Amino acid sequence: MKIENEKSFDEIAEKEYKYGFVTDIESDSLPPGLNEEIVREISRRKNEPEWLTEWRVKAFHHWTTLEQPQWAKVEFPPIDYQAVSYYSAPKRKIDAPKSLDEVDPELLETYEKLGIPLREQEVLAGVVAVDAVFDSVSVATTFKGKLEEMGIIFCSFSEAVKDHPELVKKYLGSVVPYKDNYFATLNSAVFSDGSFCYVPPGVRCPMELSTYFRINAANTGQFERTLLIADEGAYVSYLEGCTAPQRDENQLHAAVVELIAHKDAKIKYSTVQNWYPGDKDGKGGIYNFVTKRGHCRGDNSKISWTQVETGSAITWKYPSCILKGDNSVGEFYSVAVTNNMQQADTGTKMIHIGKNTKSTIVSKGISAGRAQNSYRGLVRVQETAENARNFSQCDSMLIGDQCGAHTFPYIDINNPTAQVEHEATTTKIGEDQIFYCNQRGLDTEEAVNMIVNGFCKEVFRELPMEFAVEAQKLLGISLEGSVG
Amino acid sequence: MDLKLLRDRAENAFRENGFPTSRDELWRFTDVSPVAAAAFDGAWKPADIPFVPLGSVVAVFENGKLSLEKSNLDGLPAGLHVGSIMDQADERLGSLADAQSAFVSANTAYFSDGLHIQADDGVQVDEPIHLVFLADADGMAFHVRNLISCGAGSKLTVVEEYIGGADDSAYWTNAVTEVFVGDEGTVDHYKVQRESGGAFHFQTIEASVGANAVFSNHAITIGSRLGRNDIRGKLTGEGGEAVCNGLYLLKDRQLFDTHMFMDHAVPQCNSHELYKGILDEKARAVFCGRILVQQDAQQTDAVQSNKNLLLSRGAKVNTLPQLEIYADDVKCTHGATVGELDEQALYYLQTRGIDPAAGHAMLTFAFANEVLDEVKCRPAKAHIEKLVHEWLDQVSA
Repeated sequence: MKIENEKSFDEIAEKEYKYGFVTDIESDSLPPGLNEEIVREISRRKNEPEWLTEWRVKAFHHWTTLEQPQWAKVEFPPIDYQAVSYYSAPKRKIDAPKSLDEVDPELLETYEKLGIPLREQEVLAGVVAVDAVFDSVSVATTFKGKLEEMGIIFCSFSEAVKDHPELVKKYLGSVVPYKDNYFATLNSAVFSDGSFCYVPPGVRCPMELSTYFRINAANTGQFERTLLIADEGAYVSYLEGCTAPQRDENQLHAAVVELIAHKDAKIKYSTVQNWYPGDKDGKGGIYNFVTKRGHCRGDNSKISWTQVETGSAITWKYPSCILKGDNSVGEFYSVAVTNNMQQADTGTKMIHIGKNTKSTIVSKGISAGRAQNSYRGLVRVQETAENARNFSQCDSMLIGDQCGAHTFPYIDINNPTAQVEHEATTTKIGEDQIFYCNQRGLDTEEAVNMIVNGFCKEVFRELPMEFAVEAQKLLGISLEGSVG
Repeated sequence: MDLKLLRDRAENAFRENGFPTSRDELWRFTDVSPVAAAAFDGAWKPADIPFVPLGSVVAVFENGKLSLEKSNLDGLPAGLHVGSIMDQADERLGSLADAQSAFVSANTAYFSDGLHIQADDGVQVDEPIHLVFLADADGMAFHVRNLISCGAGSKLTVVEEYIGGADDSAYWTNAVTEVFVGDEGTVDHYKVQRESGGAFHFQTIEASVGANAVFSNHAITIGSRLGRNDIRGKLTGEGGEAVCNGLYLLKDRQLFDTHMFMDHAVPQCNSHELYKGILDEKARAVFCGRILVQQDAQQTDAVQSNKNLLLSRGAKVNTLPQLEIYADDVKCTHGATVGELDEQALYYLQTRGIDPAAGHAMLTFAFANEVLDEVKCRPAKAHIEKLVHEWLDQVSA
């Protein structure tokens, strides 16, 4: 069946990126380039203690010995790391703002355009705390006071370095060491800011913590560093979401996220990623090379990753769980949508070390246009992991005959008591399904939207309420222009 | 291509690239340095190893050399030609397997014997052609090259069996088999590998499958200390079908690697792969199956599955079932499982009065039997079943 309203799809496809705008704020940036002096300068500007400066410098020197990895199924022109500016902070009024009133009004406007009602949220009393990140420096943190009462530390990374150096020193690099991989090493050397969260023993964080990332300032790489610790018996749910303005130059993003779950602790980490994917010919768009890893350090701990990836020109991201504690649980729920010329190579790693550890992987890849979407995942059961259990399901959906969907699972089993299952399927949207929907008065685009949302339901239901609605909308926007 | 040129090119490639290392993605889990380090300067001798012929047409190779004395290549049906590859110039040689890996390069450069089988168009042979490779010459390398050509509408059944001596002699079998299946032809191919416990065994099987043709391969692996099968099929005509099944039974410190690659280049083809493994003691299995569906290959139906049964602590499995899909109107699935025997099933058998040891044997055989069920050639099936039973008896003893 030929889709009749193909024309209107083309029109939609050519629609400008909805969140494409550049905020005109002067940036206090370092010149492009990367050397030891730049690394030291970043550290100096942030008034960091010496141990952190030295850690960065060590990472930088290690980075110079590494080569950019080539194994992922993505293609892009070589990145000139010397052409990137590694530090950019919005200009401040003498000191860091102490309240929202002190924040640059233009900045607040940007957030409003993005649909983050920062002011409103204070009024809405305790629904979501936003540690909003604009480029590389945290500008405002809300509800800190309320969280502080419970002993929860939720602040920007720089503040944590200042106020809680012992915690940062103890945990930084303990899950993703500075030697981990090319991009994580780069991040360790030049990370600008990010979020820090510590939930003390026995405390259940009463609200979803969230950070909105937003890339601004042309030609600036973003190097966020997030460190999240749930102490014994604690619980925290963390949301991360992002949109970025449209521009033609490729932007490099290499973030690192480290999660640590102690005994009986639970961490839920949800991401909606909607950075600029580039135009329909693949021009522009963000390069997103992220290292995310969680460490279930104590017995009965649990880490759950949920991600909806619709943006970026290139996504290279494998949120992982190291299941060290006995009875610990790792989960990974992912929806990755690629359209036009987008490329995604994403998946997870589940490393079973403790006894009776369990992991679940549900990955849904949707590929449209001329996009390439790969699932790449590892399940490893170590000799020590008695009765480990894993279930993996990777489904791909292809929309159009120019795109690709690939599955590369790695399964390493070293203990006979393991039960490991992996399943993968590939399908397309049936013409009969579309026809049925058309019959019922749904146009083809609505039908595609509905079917795709149904395909992703297993993942969406893992998202916190706030995100679930946004994710469904995003999916629709991302697939605009793809023919059913 | 001229054979001399082909050999020179392969030799250069082999000398230049050398053996792969574990830094090579395709060889990550299989360390072939013992092969690279060995000298292979042993002397030829006749191999006196018993075997059971599976049909009247039998080609026996003694330590790499075709022995006309032990073989029976007489009384072939009209249109079927079987002989040493050294006597038969075939310009297709090397067109499928040329220099994919160091092992294929070495084979192309140095092969000194092998079998050439050709069925002319419309020739249907039901009886299996049995290739027996006997090996017990310590320190020798056997580069065996086979070519199987099945004409349009023809049918062939070929069993390659590699048998080692009982003395754990250390030699290296490096075989390459190229299979051409013409339009509407059928090749039913079996490989039974029971090399000696000290042997290295590497084989690449490359098949090209024409329109409405069927290629099926069953690879049964029991022997060798270190080995690998590279089984690669290309579906080149619409309506083609490929079946690649396998069973590996490993124990001691055996390491066996299977790399399977199925290339769907044209529309409306099917491929099915079922690989099962049973691992005991400190054995290790590697399975990497890759299905490629090219952009034009609409209406592809591909199913791949790898299941592993671990009988002991210390046994290891690395499995990588991969799909690479560039067409949208396709049905592709793959799956992999690793685990031990189902305790509930064992318990159920016990409640029926079957003691645990017998129940264990029963369930283990049933696990393997799923692959044997697919074996169409009766003499081959009986032979393989017997080998599987023998292996299971050894393991449980």
